[in-house]
Amino acid sequence: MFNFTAFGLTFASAFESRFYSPAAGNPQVYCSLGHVPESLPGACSAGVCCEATPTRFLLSLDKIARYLVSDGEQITVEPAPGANELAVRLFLEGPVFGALLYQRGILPLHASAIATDRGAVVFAGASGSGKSTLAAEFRRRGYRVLADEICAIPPSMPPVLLPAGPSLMLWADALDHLKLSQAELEPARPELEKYILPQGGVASSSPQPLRAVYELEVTSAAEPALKPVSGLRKVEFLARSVYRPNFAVAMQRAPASLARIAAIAPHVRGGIVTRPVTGFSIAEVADLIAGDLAA
Amino acid sequence: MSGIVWLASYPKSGNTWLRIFLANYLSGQSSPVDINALDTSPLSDRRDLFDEALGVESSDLSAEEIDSLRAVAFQRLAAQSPSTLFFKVHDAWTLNARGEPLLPAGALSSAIYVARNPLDLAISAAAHAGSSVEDAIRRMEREDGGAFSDPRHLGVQMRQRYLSWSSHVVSWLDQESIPVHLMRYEDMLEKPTETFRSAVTFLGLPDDEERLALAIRFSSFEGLRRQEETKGFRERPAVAEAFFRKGQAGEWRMELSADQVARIIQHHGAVMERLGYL
Repeated sequence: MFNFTAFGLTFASAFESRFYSPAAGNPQVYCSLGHVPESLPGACSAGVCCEATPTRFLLSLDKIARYLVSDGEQITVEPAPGANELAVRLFLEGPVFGALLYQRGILPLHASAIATDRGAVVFAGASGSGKSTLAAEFRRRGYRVLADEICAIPPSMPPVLLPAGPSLMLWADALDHLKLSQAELEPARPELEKYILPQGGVASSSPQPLRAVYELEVTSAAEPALKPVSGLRKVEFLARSVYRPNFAVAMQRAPASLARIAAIAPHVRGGIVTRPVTGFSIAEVADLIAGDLAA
Repeated sequence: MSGIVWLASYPKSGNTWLRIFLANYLSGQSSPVDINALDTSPLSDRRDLFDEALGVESSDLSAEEIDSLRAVAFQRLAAQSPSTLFFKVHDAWTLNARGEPLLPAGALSSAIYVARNPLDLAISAAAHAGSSVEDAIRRMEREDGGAFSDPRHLGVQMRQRYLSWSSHVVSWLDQESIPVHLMRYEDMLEKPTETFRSAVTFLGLPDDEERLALAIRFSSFEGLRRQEETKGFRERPAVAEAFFRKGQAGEWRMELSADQVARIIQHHGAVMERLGYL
């Protein structure tokens, strides 16, 4: 068994984690190998590959694995014959953990995050907009990375972020852009030129006040720009960053998610950062955000 | 369960023009639809739509895995939609590794294919990509032509396979999985009423004379250029000066060299002839 901590939880897992820090203490979540059914009775579809009830979630990936998450504390994995283990672990630590958080009443955001002296700063945006690259740029500037891909917001007030881990996944061209070598890095899975940038320094597991959320957007504008979001618009803005809204719908948690977003909104600074497709540097984008945070 | 209409074309053939016409026709409003609010016909290769339909990140999947799941992802989107879905698509009609069509071939799907004379297309494609016309001509010849295919980079769009210009046209017009209606850019320009009405009829939409005239006017080149000038167009690539550039047919007579014309005809002559361009 491998014990590690992420999202304020201790996991005891049959799989080693490449993202999260080892931990002692009593596990709250168990992840084991076992038989996983092909479907869940009474479940609603949460996407082509997944279905859910309020307490159970099933992810089925052809040639990789089937995963069952139950009651927010038990994950069962049945790898497909001959499946690559890195691929099995990649989806475990992505959508499966996302579903686990929903089951535990923790709101997941599709975002990366860094720690600042005044709390967690979250980078949301569509896949490919540069969330992880931006977190890596701040990491280069000496900031601690708190999460990549999924940011966990528990129900407490004022809102906090539960750190996941200090690792980041970056594509080969993003590594080039940041002048990082991929030579020593392990790919997320052998088929992809996406690499895991391991932790730099000690991970922090204590909750961080949620300070700001910036959404990255790719546009046809020539220069990166930052536009603050305020008032009621912040609710709609934050709702766009919720991780896999279809999961919440299938688990009958969509109204709770939206209520949570509305409660959080007044407490966080919001901004939309637009950038061109090419011909910009991630440092320019980071400068805009650093400037906004200092204002 | 509702159907999907594919608005298909090789890039820079008039696809966006058709989308804007349809957006205006469907809205039936007395003022033009905002060109920055064309959410009624998103690009089929947008990662966010696919990821949400699937439940996992396409960025965790290989291009081959994505292609094997695209048809089921679109089927889900259609199953959840109360009305017909329109998607812009630049992919050629191809088969995935399992030998199944990349896009769902269900009975409820259909396509409008927009074709444009490759002599004019080469000039437009060059301006759009900020490249030379020579480069654009070469790209149109490549059987492995496409976009977002760099495996080292995660784009906001997924891998698209255009094939060559000729193969693109033939792939859509000769596939037998779904009904396809051909529109030529030049006819949209020259005889808009007749050409757009035939599209409306093909889609089974009510044939409304007044709406048709208004939608044609609201999607006229001058109107679109003015909108882009005042508000910008979010689909314009940063390297292109304007998305709505000239909106003409026959520009090649002024802009292409005799060698360039000969090369395009040599490569694409058979398909050009089929479409009435020779």
